[in-house]
Order: sequence, then C-alpha cells, then structure tokens
Amino acid sequence: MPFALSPERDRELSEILTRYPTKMAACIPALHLCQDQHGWIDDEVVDFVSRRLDLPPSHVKGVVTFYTLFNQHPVGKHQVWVCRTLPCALRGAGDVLARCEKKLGIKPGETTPDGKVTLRTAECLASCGTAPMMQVDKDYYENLTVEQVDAILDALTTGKPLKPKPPAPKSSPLGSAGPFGGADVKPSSPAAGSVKPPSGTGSLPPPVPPPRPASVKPPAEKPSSTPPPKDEEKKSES
Amino acid sequence: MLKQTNYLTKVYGLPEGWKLAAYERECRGYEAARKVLTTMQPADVVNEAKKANIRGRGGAGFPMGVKWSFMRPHPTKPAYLVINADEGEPGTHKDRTIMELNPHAVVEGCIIGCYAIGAHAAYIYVRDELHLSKARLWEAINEAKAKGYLGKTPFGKGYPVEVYVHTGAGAYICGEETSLLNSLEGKRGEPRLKPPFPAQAGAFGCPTTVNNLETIAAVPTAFILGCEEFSKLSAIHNLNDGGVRLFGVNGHVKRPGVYECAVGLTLRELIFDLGGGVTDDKALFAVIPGGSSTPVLRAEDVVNAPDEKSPLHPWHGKSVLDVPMGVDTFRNMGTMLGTCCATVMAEGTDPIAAFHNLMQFYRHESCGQCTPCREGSGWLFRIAEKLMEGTCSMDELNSLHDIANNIMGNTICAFGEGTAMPALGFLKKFRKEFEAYVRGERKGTDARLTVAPLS
Repeated sequence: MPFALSPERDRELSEILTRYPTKMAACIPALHLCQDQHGWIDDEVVDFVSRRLDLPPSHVKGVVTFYTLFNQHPVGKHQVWVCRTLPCALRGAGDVLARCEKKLGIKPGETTPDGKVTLRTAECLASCGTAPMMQVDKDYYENLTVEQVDAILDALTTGKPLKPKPPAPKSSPLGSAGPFGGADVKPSSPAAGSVKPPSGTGSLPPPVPPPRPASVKPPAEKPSSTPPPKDEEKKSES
Repeated sequence: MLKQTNYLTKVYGLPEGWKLAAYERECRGYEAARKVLTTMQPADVVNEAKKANIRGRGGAGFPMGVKWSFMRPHPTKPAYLVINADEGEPGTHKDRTIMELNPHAVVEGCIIGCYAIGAHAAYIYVRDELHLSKARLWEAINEAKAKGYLGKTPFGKGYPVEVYVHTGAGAYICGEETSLLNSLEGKRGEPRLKPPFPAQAGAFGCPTTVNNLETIAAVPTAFILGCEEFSKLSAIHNLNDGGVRLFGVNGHVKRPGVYECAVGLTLRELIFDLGGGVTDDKALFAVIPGGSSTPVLRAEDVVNAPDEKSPLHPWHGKSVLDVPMGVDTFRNMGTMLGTCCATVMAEGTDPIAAFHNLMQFYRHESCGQCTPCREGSGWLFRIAEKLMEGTCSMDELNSLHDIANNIMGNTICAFGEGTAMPALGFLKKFRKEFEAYVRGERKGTDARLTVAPLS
C-alpha cells in the first residue's frame, strides 16, 4: 500500500502550507511529519511528498539525502545521539560514547539486535555549556555523569522510568545576573517544561513514560491554566 | 571591563520566565514594539537602530542597522525577515538559552525588525534538534498573537506581522545565510553565490534580511533604553561595537555557561571571573575565542600592534587575554570574535587531538558543493588521522598549509574559510607539537582532551 500521512498529520501539513508563498517550502516540514509517522524515509514516502507538494521526486530525494536527520534506513525505536565535537570532548564525550558502546554492545551507526536503540554520534548540539551531553529522541540530557548515562540507557532498554536527580546547587556569586550555565539553564526537555509540544513533534507514542532528563529537577510548573489559542494544536515546529 | 547586565537574562531561571507575563513584568516587554509601531516611521527606526551599534552576533559582526538599511521597497515583491537560529558552531550555546528562556524578546525583536525593513512575515529558522526551543517560540508567538501584538493589526496599527518557526534537518551549513534561505525554500541547503545579496533577492526571490537570533533579541532592549544609550553600555563603544551581549564559556572551566555582559569584556574576565577559572586550577593552555572556526589563541600570546592607527594599539605588548572582546579588536589580533562563546583548554590538553576533532567536524559538515572545500576538508581530516596514528610524514604535515590555503577564498561561502582558518591557526600556534607527532615523540594513543576521566 502506498504511504500516506494520517488524517491528523495531513491536516497539520495543510496548515503548514499556509505559512509559505510556495509549496516547495513545506518540503522539509512534510518530510519531518512523514518520518515522525513512518520512522524513516523510503521511496514511497518520497513519492508521497512529491505528489502532495507537486515536486519532482528527484527534488525530494535530493533534500532527503542532504540532511543528516532524515533516516534513509530503518532505525531503532529510540535514537541516542552522543555529541562528540570538541567542547563536549573536552568534558568527557569520549567516555560517554565508550560507555554507550559498552553498555549497548554496538558501535555508532548500529542498532541493538532487539531494535530498541540506535546509537549515533552527533556534531555540536549547542549544549557546550552543559557538556557532556546526549540527545535521546527529542530530549536533551546534559551535564552527564557515567551514572546518568547508565540510568538513561537502562530506562531505554528495560522500559523503566528514570528517577529524577536532585538539581545541582545554584552558585551565583556574581549577583542576580549570575551564571545560568550548567544546571541552571534547564529544563531542557519539552516534556519537563509546561509547554506542550505542538502536535506532530511527538513520534509514535513511546512504550515507556518519557524519561526525564536525569539532571533536571522535577517539573514544578503546572500546565498553562489559560486555554491555548485554538490554532495552537495545529501549529507545528517542523 | 567586567560589567554584568541582565536586560535579556532577567527572566532566566524565573518560574515560567519564558511566558508573556514574566516578560512584560520584568523586561518591560513589548513596550519597545508598541512605541516603534505607533509613533515611528520605518526609516526612523532604521536610523535609530544604526545608533545602537549592534554588530551581528552570528559570527561575521556586520552592523545590524546598516544591514537593515540595505532593504529597499520592491514594487511587486514582498520583503521578509529571516532569523538565523541554526546554532551549530561548535562551542556556541547562547541562542538556545534565549529561545528557551526568553523567547518573547525574539518575537518582539521580529515585530520591530519587520516594521523597520518593510516585511510582513518573519521566519525563525531553528535547527531541528532544539525541540524545546521550537515549542517555546511557538508558545510565545501564540501568546503575543492572543494579546494583539502580532497578526493583522499589531498594537492596533494596520501593519500586519506574522512570525513563523521553520526548521532544518541537521545541517551545519544551513547556518550560512544563503544556504539557510535555500533550506527555507525547501531545497538542499547549498549556499548561493553572492551577489545578489539577500537584500536584493533572498527568501523566495524577494528582498530579505537575515539576522542572527541574538541580534534580533537585543533590539527591544536597545529601543527601551534608547539606541545611543544602549551602545554606550559597551566599553568599546568608540569602535562601533555597542551594547550588551551574551558571552559563553565552555570546555575546561569550573562554571561553564552563558553570561550577559557589556561588550568589551576580556577573555581573562570571562574565563576566570565568570567561568570560575580553569578546571582543577590547572594552568590555562589555549582558548578558541568564538566558536571552532575562529583561530585559536595560546595563553601566553601577546598583542603585537605597534602601529598607532590599529584599534589594538592601546593593548600593544599586553596579553591577548586582556583585550576587550570586540569584533574589530579580535579581527586585528588575527582571530575572530565569532559567536563570542569561548572554548577553554587547560594545560595537558592535546592540541593535535583537538585539531583532529575539529577537522572531523568540518569533514562531516562540508556541503560538498565546491570542490576545494569538499575535497580539502577530507584531506585535512585524513592527515589529522595520520598524525594521530603516527604515520604522518613531514611532507604531509607541510601540505596542510597548502590544502588550507587552497580552500581559503576559493569557495562560494565562508565555510571554506571557516575550515581553513582554524586549521592554519592550530598549525601556527602548535607547530612544535605537530612536529613532535611526526617524529614519533608524541602519540595519538596518549593524547588526552579531558582533564580527568568522566566520573
């Protein structure tokens, strides 16, 4: 059966199309929606997007092959990206990666035999002040320790939720404008804030409750009491 | 000169500080946009903005007001404002904090920017990995819209402004402005030839201004304080480098993070006063001042600017750590201010391993459009690999200069320079260490980047 977006995602795509003067501009957002649904981009997805947006399939394929985040092969249920670039490497990214390799028994680029986790290295993820870090699906885990890496991987492979770690002490010797690097810059996960990520950001419902960033205090915020504008649900970042 | 401020960062760390209520309460939120839209003409906004001396905060340091003034109304085509939030330069972690913790400053900046350049739509291009940033920006946009600050009649004025968040899909090159525009249009993110510049033919072939996210987030503050006053906060206001900005420090420091300070802070203050000093109180070895593409500085380097006309002359003979961090001061020092986020390396860090790490980054991120960069970045990385393996010859080491110099200036975009400059910088500053590797006196297997193993 040829690929098609779910009605909900298709409506989202129609809304995305209203933001741009051309249909082509929705190409990358459309591919994100498809990947959220399908896990990776195969030729049928390319075909769907090209028909939906009136683009030549070669154009869509060209876009898919250009960008790192479009999976051109099936991937595991969870994706673990370890940042390897210099600022993280200076603070132990090598150790984080080695730990992941050992614990999962795979090398970067590979998926565990049970199909649960794909391990990858990432180039700088803009988290240099809170290094070392890794990204698991859509969540950032920062200021990692070996213990936290273990806990995160255990949560992914066993399906047990992560225990939140008490927040790091806030040191601000320089006045109210003091540092907000390190632990202060949290929360770093959409799940940890009060913001409901727009629909379509979440992929298939995760089999486990989304683990909380290990170094983030439990969210104290309640969901916004004011009802969001009607069209917020349809807004997508992608 | 260390002068910490909190114009942008006042709401950082507050509970729900990213919401409209906190922004209006703490930062006089949307006062500037209201004033601009209801009392000023677009041309006056541009002229006023020029006085703020905001240098582009994405790396190149181009004056923001001047860039705005390049926009000319087109008889048939609309204009666009595009915000570059594709933060991907290794060592740069400032924009993310603004998007996550003060997204309303971005939205307000977009309203003012759109009005000044004659645009009715702004696209904020955020890299796809930053899911929280995107969600916070959308939330801010919706809040502003609900209040009537955005939409068909912002602040009751018949000047429609819409702001959208657009995402890429993980390509460092899309931080280059023309590549970003291609990506926004739904194409492969390959840079375009300039001219035409975006102000003539940018997004969708229409006049476009591309501003860095931190640049646009500074605009509301400038208009609240008065642009001239804002500029004067800087210690090097006289060098047309004004205002306050975010300074990041990462790597081997005790308190890595992002700090808002007046422009003109020195590296010594950033590393020792704000960053808390080098990890484990080790000696400082080297600093990459503003993202990995800026040439590295050694701790013992001194300024050599005997010429009285040089903006660096007042610091002639002093340590590079004591020079105010400004676009022109650092450029004259043979490096660049870049994104103003310094990566610190302690004594004992292996510079060749660092070089190898960075060359791997550029090898991975070259978009492949221009041959010198596509092939050159691969050759640089291969020689770095050979150095680490201990199989590099002296000829190959010397060829690094040739390769880097043949990338420089021979590519469509500045990625080529961004690759060649750090390579040449490392070669210049660490020639002895490179030679030690060739002679087998140092080995890749002993190379360390961390101060201590991760606990």
